[in-house]
Amino acid sequence: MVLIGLSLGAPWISPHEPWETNLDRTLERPSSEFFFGTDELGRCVFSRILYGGRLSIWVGVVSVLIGLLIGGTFGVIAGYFGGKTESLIMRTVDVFLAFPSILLAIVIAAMLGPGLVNVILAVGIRNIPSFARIMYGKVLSVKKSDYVVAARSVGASDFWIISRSVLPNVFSTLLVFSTLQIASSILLGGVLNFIGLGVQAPMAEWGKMVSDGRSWLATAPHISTFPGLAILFVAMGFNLIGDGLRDSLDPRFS
Amino acid sequence: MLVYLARRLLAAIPVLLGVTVVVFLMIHIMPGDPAQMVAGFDAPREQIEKIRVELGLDQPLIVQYAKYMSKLLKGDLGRSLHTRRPVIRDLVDRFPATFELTLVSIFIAIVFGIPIGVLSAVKRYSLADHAAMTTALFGLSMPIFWIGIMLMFVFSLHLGLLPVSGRGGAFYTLSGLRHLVLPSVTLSLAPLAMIARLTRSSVLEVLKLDYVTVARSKGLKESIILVRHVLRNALIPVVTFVGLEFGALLGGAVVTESIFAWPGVGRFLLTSIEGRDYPAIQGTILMIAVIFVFVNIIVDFLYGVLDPRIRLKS
Repeated sequence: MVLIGLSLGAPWISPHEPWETNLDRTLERPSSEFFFGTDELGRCVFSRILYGGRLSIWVGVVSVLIGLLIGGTFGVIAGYFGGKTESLIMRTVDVFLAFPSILLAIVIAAMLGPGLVNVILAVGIRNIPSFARIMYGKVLSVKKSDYVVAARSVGASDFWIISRSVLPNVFSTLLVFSTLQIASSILLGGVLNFIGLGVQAPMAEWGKMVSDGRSWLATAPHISTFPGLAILFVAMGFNLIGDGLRDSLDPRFS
Repeated sequence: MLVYLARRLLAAIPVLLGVTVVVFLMIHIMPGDPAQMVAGFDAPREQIEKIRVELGLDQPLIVQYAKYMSKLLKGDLGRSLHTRRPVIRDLVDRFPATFELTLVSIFIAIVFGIPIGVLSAVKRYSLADHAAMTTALFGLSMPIFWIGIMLMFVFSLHLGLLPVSGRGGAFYTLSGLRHLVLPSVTLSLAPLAMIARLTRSSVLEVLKLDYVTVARSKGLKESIILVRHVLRNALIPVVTFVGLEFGALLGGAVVTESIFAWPGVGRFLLTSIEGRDYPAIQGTILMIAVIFVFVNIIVDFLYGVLDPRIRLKS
């Protein structure tokens, strides 16, 4: 299953199509020499999907990295040091988590203005509290474990303890969570672009393509169909990977 | 138990305060000058300045925030720049529509999700199980806007079975129902998938536990065991999840409403964002966040009620 996920998640690795996105030749015509047909401006939908793939997946990965690095660090700090720092950080996290994911991203994207970078930032910011929470919880449980206590009693420095004992144990959870977050981040990126808060024309991005195709739904449904399918399969790929990882890394798995 | 509830409510206050701060700050972080937005782009400088003073935008932030909070506590959410009506009225007008949509969607998700999950757990590793879980995976990975458009395409444009958009009246009318079908199904798919998966794993977990074996050895019928013992405990995480998912549902409603032109709060938010209608945006976000916080509290509370272990620990 994981293999399927990998192969589905990598259609973007093959942008062998030349930059055909400026072909103002023909208007909306379903599949013939153009695998997925052409859109309302005569561009090859297939190529646009391939290029859009790079963008969409980029959004997913970078935003998760943002969430991971910033949120994760905060979470670890909060969990490890405790006390006032812990309360402060976690309270702030709670406030942000009080907003539904999609809403938070929409608001942030609206605030920042249009553009791909802002979409990445918006989704990234949405990811931060989630990662913070997860890392916090994990660090809390690891903190109590034997190796940490042992390291502490020997008088090791905090940094040492964190990097040597805490991080490796947190790693597996992190990996699973990150993968799943990538999937949801890609979806979220799609939503933002669909609404119009992200990429501008004539850039190709899956969410935007679905939105553009709405006007032609009755006569040329393929314009919307294929980008959406692309999102579906890539998200599913990452979900599969995440699930597979979780199942194999879980010690309780009999 | 009341103590528990009171404590949770108290803990929520700083969160709510934080929410208001965030919402308040939003406007000021946005690129663009609010005063100019209100006055209109080509307005003369004096007019922009006049509006700035009127709206109190020349005061230090703290003062503005204080004013904002005092208005808030009186229930004044400001006036929409677009519709010129108090934001509260706009929200109250549109709330029932969103509420209806969300409720029906959750209902569908639960009614279909739980049985599927249970069946999958009971017939573990069977064909039905695999099929159900794979479909669930599809449901999870699907972009809401896409499936909404696809459904619209198939059922409205192509087959002409259901209306394309809009709300047709209350849910108990035929027209209302017909209009409800597509949006609510669209919205329910993701939660349905998650509920199915969660129910399945939860039931599997419970089935392994001791008291189930005890019940079986007592000679009870499998179905009774299932319903009375297993379900009650397995459903606890599901209940929690539904409560939490509610927030995501509200978010998803934003997209669904815009696709199907459903006259709800979500669509209001989007049009407000497009129109840079700051008071409306602030008011809507605030309302949604507050609702979400309260739903979470209720869910937490329910969780404590259903699972005595949690209650006693705190």
